[in-house]
Amino acid sequence: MPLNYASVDNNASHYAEEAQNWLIECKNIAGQLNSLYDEAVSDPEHLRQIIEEAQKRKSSLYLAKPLQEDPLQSFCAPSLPQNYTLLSADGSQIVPNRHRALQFGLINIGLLTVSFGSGQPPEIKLVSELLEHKEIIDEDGNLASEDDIALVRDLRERTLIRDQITPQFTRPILTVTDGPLDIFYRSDIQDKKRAQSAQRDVYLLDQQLQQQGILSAGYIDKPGSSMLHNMLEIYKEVGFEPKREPEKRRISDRLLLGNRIKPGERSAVFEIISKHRGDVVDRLRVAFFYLNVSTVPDYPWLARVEIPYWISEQPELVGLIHAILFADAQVLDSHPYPYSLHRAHELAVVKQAEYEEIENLLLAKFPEGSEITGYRSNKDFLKGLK
Amino acid sequence: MSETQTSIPIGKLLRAENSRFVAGCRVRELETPALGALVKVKLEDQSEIYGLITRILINDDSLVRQLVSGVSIPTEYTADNRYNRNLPVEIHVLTVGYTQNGHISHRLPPRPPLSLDVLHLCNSDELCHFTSLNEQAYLRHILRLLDQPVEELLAAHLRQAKAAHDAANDVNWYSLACQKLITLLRDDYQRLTSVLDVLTDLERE
Repeated sequence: MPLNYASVDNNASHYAEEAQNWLIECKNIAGQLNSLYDEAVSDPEHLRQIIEEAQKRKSSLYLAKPLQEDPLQSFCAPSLPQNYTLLSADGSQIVPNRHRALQFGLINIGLLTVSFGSGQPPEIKLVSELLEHKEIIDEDGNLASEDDIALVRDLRERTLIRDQITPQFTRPILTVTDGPLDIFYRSDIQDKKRAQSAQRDVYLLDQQLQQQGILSAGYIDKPGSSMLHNMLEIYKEVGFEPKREPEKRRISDRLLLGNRIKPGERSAVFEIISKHRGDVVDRLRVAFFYLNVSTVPDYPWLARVEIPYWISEQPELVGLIHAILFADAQVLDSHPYPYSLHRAHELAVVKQAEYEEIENLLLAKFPEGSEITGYRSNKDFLKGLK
Repeated sequence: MSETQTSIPIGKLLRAENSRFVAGCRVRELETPALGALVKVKLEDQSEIYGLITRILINDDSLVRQLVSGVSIPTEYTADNRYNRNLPVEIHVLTVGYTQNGHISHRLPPRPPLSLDVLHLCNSDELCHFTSLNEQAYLRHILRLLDQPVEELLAAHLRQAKAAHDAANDVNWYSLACQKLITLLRDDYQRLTSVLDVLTDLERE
């Protein structure tokens, strides 16, 4: 028996009750925050000033800052152009595992290029890269972590999608990746300098894209961030006497905006204010909007769409990205998510059988009895028993 | 004209047994094969196994099922699913004979073809040659089928074979084939009636 179901079942009702209560509390807090949101964003200029003051004072921040659009409004998508190009990239990876006979790392990136209006099938490309030995084991002999490899993968997604673009592509051109647009600064990354260098590379790549008028976006499905709540906490800090205790529980933007954005519409555009110690100077400036990809009024489904700041300054480009991503998500309308990203993921995903095939391919390159290959750990061997 | 110029590769073998086999092909390769067509697989020992296409199966998967329920699918994504995604069209083939050392037999081959062997569509000459031998004994394989619309398969095959024989000025072939079918079904009146019905329909074309 793989699980002691009886034991789990004993606690299941209690767990469900706790989770339900937690959600009710979150909704209550969201209800209170809603009126605070109305108040705070009714004077966006004042709110921006408060946030800019906080940027000077605080060493660490992660919040939303309203830009030109009215945060109390939601916006319809303009009509789609007849012809445009959509490029999507997604990746997966093999992380080195000390329990295996051989430690190695691999990234696998799937790219899909769709020329809408051509009637032609999308071009697909799969790039599989075996990481160099020095990339998976540092000088102290530490193996690269999941986050280290993910950083390499994220950067390759962005460079490869850029390399795909040719002057023959029909404009407008939009490149989309899954997840935040800037490379996420994961706490588990061992080589901080490398992470900073990757962020700088993403910044430079975006500059190239801007020069060529190529749009880019990061799509985050079921986002969990609380940038709006953080924004309201900063507003509370300044605007209320006596000072109120900051809310410990963070309410997700999704919960806060869920009923404010009609199906198919988007929120106003906000800027992401992200400040941490050790941030690089040349870092991508990112804006975002929430997009309700649902078509059913009572069941909103918000995705966060991140865009470079320069795009946020041109409302027609924001509208174009809104229209393209909403249309792409509607292809899979029972579970709306951009089809092109799903296909890029489908291309890239590495299955266990493929992991083992690559491992065998590599092991075959070593001379018989080579000490480096060794054996799988006994633990790993026993896990594989069926 | 050499055989390599006229035999059209239409797929590769997925699985096989002596009496039937299944090949996979991409949608782009689907323009040539048709129900009832004579096909062959060449083995490593240069022998060839012949068969008739009895079923062409378009597979689905969970993504296609999602798309089917969608309101509208861009043309480009329909093409993506047809031409890019790894969903082979399955061509089911009934084994009807084989050649060994240049001799054609209408019996089952001693062993089935192997996976990834290439399936070829036979040209008109091969079709005429194979179907004229052994008093059309290969037709018995079709009549043994239980899980297929046998009459429709017969009609599809005879139509293609008749056209090839007529083009080669062999106008008697079709009536000989009909006589063979009547002989094979002489003890199965019900089936004979439905076969004759479909042959009548064929002759009206």
